[in-house]
Amino acid sequence: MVMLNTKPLKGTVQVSSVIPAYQSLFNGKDHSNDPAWLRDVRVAGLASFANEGFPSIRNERWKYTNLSPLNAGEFVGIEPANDAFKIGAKSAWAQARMVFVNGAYREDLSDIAELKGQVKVVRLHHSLSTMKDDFGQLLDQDLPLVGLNSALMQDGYRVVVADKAKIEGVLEVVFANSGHKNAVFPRNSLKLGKGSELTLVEHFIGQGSYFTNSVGEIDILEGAKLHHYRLQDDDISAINLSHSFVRVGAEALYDNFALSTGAKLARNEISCHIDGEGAHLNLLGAYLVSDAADGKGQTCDTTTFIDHAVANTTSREVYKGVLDGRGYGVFQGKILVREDAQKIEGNQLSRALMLSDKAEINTKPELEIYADDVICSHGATVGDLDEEGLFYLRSRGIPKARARALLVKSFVGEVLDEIENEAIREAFTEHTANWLSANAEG
Amino acid sequence: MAATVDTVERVESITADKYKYGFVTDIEMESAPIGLSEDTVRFISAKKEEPSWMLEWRLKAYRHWLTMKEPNWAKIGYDPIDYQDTYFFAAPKQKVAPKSLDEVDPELLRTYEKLGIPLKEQEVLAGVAVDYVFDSVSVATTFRAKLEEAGVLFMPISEAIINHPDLVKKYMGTVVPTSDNYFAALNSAVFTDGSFVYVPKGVHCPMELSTYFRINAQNTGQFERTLIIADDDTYVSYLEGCTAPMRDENQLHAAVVELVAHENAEIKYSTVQNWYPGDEEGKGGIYNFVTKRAKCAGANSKVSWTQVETGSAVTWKYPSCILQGDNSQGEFYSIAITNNMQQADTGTKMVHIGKNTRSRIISKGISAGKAQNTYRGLVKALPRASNARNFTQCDSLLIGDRCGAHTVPYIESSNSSARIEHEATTSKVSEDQLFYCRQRGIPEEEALALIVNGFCKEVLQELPMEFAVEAQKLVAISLEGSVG
Amino acid sequence: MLKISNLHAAIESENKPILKGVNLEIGAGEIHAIMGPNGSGKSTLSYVLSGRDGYEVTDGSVDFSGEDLMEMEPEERAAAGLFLAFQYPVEIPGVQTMTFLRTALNEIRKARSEKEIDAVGFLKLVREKCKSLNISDEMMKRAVNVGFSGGEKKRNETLQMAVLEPKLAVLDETDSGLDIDALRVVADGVNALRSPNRSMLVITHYQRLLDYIVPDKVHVMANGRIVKSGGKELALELEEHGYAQYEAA
Repeated sequence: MVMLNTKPLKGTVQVSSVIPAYQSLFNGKDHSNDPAWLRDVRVAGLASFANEGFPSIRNERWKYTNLSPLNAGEFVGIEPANDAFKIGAKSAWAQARMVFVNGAYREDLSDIAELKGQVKVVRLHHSLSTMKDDFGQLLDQDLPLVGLNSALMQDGYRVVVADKAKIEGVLEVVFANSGHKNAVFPRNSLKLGKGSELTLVEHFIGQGSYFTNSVGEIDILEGAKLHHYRLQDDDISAINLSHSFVRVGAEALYDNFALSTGAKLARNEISCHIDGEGAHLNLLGAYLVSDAADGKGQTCDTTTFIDHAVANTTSREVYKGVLDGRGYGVFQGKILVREDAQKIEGNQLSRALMLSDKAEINTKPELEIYADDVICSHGATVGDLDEEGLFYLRSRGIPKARARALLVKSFVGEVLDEIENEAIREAFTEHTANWLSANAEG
Repeated sequence: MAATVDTVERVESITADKYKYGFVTDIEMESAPIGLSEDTVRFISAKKEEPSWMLEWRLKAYRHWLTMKEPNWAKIGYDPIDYQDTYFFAAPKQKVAPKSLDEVDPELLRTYEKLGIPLKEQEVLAGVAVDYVFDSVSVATTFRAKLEEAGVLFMPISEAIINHPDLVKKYMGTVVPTSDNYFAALNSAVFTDGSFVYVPKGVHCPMELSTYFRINAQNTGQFERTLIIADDDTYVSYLEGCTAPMRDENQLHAAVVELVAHENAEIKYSTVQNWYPGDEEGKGGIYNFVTKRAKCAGANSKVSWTQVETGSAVTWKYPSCILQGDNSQGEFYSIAITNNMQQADTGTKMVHIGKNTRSRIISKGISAGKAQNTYRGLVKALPRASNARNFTQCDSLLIGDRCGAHTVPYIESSNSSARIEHEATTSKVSEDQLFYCRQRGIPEEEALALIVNGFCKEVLQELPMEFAVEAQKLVAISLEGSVG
Repeated sequence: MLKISNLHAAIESENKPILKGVNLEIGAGEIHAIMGPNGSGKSTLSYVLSGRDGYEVTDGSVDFSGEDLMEMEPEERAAAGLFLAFQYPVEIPGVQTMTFLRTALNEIRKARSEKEIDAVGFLKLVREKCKSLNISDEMMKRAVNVGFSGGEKKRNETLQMAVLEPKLAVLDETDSGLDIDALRVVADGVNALRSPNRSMLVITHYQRLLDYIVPDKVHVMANGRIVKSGGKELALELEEHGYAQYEAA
């Protein structure tokens, strides 16, 4: 068992109806087809959730993100999809696609035939009975949200890439949710064999006030490369709490980009354990938030943890936030360099642009370093657009609103430009431009 | 001649004795009964002949303290403190308070001479008034007459409580409330002495004020309380220095410092903290849990904290600024050096409340041996803090592969026109720099001291001259034995 | 003065031999130049002579005025009179050049049981040296090499050499990164320091430096050995024909 994170603070149990609500949801399900080990995992998961419930802001890891909207215990239904919600054709940049609607796999909407190479793409549900040694190995079951997912998860993707297989084309996985107070618990598993390569996009969309609690395990073996992109475009009434646990082997690459514009309350948490020399990590992303459907602000929380457990490894992190309306942004990034993990380079940058008087940002970059031969840095900036830049553009005849729009676009563009896959870079850039013209330029 | 030029001579004069302040003064003492209870609080208050309002204030703090838990969020580990095995009051036995230095016990005078801090005014560094606090009491305050001419009040706080109760009542506990945190509550209950400064309107304090703290007695906690009030249009610079004997057991130091700066007032507060750090195995040393906070209450006020932290086994300290007045400014310049088994968790809080408030944080952490050194800081811009500005530079240097350096900044902004910039780096001492120095003939340990002093320069140059030289010397001493 | 015999050295971390039997003898007051292609071991020789970490001497010896140089710490070599003018002088933020150089001079004096120089005496000394080398003493107030241009860094190296008065100066690629005017200033400085009891070892890739600092002897280094030695005319020959013939060997 790889422990990626320190244990949560105990003793912060909140009195609410939420724990019994999820317990009865669990008890109401038929687990008779689960193998014995999986039942044990589920029971343990439920126990770890029941121990703390949804973490409170007194838990240092959740200091800045208030989960009290979940504590009413309302998000316990799993309804079938709302018919009015139509899923379009697969994205132009995708060669293959899996679609999960309200947590259930939809074969009619999925198309995985086009993906070339030695790769197994299946529903997790179909692999569970054989996954005993591969299931839950990378994550920290003691975290209440992980526990809750383990207890209630039903399906998600399971992708296994064979050694040395370089998969052409992009695999898109769509998580589409709809309905009122629905709760879905996707569980995903991805394993890249030695020297293999894959490009994967997770795409969250939906309609309604649903709650997604997603957990993923990503194992990148020696010399493999994973380009992992994520577009979170949930309904601005929805809640999306996702946690990916990543293990990066020797000489391997984990290249992640997350673009978030949706949800009323979102947290994208990534915990990376680098345990092979020569590995490199890219954690990049942008988040753009404004008012949520209920008139309050959207909350977008990006929390990352990078564990340099071995020597000669490098990581780079860049996140850009744009906060408009009552938007609320959180960035927490921790870099740990363990004892004897020498020759480490870890650089982190978080920049947030505040476009509105009502916006708010809280940032906590953190370095914890126990080896000396390291070059680590972090930078964080918070503020409005650069007045000088604005003046320069206006002095060249560009009207103020247009000049602001240009500067905001270039602010986000700096990090979007780092997306390696051209088609995805264009798609994400377009998504950003659309958001900006609908929000920040209004 | 610039202070840095002097480094060379100072570094050369470093002797092998690692902690030269580690001796014990043999002097007749009187103490409160060991342990902590309401009776202890009453005993202290009675010893100080305090008015009843002060006793009530203490008791309220004590009762609140009983309901509190020792904080555990800092990256420090230490054996639990047994408050029932600590003396909360220890004082050199002296029949009457000394009216002048001639009446001070000669043994005490010799102690300060040994520390390199002569009490005799004519020998004191020109233009520095000093309050000497020995364990729980102030033993001497120099240059009082001269200060009084200018209208500046500089005296032990125990005296201010009796002679200036209105000022003390008005300000004490307004910056650090008695219930603020565990150690502040404890201090409020049992503080024994410390310095009090009041600078009346329009006065530029004619000399540097200084307090020298010394823990001598065994099993004794030191709980000093300092209160500095700078009224409108004033300036004052205050320095504090601290040492303690080498003892095998840990001793507790839990101080509270409150600063209030009114309109157009400026307070410069400098600390060279060199409490006994414990031995190489981590045995003994001072637990330094200190709450220091400044309120920039008036418009255009300014508070600047400069600290050189080289001592103590454990340091828990976050000198902060509440930037309430419009256009007020806060500064924090810090050097924290940990070696052997020392642990430090230190930083600052800059809370921007008023418009156009500015803050600047420069922190230099150096970790050697098996030490752990953490910078923890908060920069917060509240909704009203339009055009607030903060710049933070936080650099850590590692010497050796068994120490740790950590950086934990919190940045919170609720105002779109506030601009906050934070930069942090962590690296080891450059091999190239060391080799360059050695090729020019400078031995390794001195090369290290030179490079580290260079690394700290931005902070050292903020110190008053007399302290800058001392501080550079301390940097070198603190790092002895960390290379090779 | 300096006698290098059959010197073999390797990069410690890679276990990679770089010097493969260097023999070289420099007499008092002589100027020798070592030329050679990139990667021939020229800079390694300067680092091994000055005692930089990361190199392992696997065979041979170096005698410096009767002492075994390889047994000494870098600062002891400096005290014995060895000076290395670095190809890339490192920046040391916050340390004033004046402080740095006075520390160095006094440490060397201390090691030689000589009287240390006080701040006033030192200032006078530096001003004299600056004047004689035609270098502004303004850079003494700045942090060591911080924000210095390429030319300033090399002038600073020359000034340090003048103040520390070594017996043997090793000039490692002193011409690199300098335009012709800066090169002339530095070369003039070096020439001013020539004396009957000061030897110099000039390491360079290009002949052009030797137009200004005229050597007594020129050696060609290739593949970790000195493959040819001659008078100053050898440099011109190399300029014309290149190093190809030696590299093949």
